[in-house]
Amino acid sequence: MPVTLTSLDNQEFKVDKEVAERSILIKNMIEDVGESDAPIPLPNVSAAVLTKVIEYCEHHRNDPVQVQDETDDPRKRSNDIEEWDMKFMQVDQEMLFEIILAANYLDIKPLLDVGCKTVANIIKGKTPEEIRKAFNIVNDFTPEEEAQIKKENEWAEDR
Amino acid sequence: MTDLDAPIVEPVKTEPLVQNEPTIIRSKPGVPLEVWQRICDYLYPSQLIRLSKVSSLTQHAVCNLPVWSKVFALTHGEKSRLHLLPKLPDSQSYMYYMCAISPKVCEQCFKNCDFETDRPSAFPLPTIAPSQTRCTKDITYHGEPVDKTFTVHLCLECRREFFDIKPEPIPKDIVKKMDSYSNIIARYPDILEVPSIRDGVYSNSMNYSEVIFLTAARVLHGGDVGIIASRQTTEIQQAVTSRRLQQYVSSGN
Repeated sequence: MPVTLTSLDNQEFKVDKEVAERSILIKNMIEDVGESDAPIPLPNVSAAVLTKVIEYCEHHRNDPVQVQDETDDPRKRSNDIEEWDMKFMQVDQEMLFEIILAANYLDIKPLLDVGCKTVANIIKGKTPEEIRKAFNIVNDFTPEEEAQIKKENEWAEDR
Repeated sequence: MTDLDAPIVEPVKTEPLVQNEPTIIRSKPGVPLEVWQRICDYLYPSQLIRLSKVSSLTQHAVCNLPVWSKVFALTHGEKSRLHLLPKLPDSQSYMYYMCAISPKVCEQCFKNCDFETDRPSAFPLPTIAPSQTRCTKDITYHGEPVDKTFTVHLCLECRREFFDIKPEPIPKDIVKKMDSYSNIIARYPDILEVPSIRDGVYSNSMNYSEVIFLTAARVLHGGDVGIIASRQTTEIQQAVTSRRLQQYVSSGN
């Protein structure tokens, strides 16, 4: 049975229940309300972003539910991203963060993970200045603070 | 000496940091701290430290990561306790301390090397960060080449593992070169530790291709970077570590 989702800008999207239920938030809503034709409002997600999110959920509709891999072990990290997901994430930066925020709100953990990995991959080979440029972040440290940080935060590199 | 056992954690007295919603992009809702920290899960310590230098928000996010105390436990064992610095969040003390001892800590397995007993090639040495992203060509977002000057410091075991998957190329000049056994052994003095070389049937009067010896030396020391380190000492790393540890102790006073 299809489910209707309504975006922030009042567009309606009809999707299969199993696709919609990739979102734990929606899954819980459906369970709480029971069978109903009423559209589900998603006031935090714009139509453009919702389109992307649905595309992701369609593609991953048959994925097994992700086992909790929150091992908390900092040694077990992998930046590996599936090829399809990588292409899917090839969007401008604003959209990338919108997708991450939507995944966080809708509670779609695999999508949130892919988004976070993508951002991490952008960060990993960059200097602080390059990171600022990439994400439009303003350096708001005073020169004194900067000197202090330079003294205290350093991993192996300075000699 | 100040009393290190005095209240370890006090409220931060400087101007309040933004607690909840660091905004990383200029527009609208901002990325919540927990998402930021999720992003940080995929970064190595040296990458996190660079990120912390970007702005007060990223610094706040990185300093408050729970990962620092976990890393401390991996390095020193679950039962070890750190003298925490006053007036700072606990995680920040762990971060500063880990930075202090970082010249001897592997960024991947967090093994803590020992200046007294470990040979130089056992120490964490710069290795190009393992990049597991497969697609590079048509996707500019991910295809941005990782700057080779930015490396992660991996210990011998982790380098062996890494180079086993991604072997270093054999230098062209060595491929064709034949040299006498004694010359080659002189260039790789530790190589006789490798059983296959030690027990191999080599004759002093014969010439051999250097490739086989280079390969064995790379395995023994964990890549070319390890071979180079094996000819040096760890004095500099040791000096840096003790200077930073002193700095850590004195900032607690």
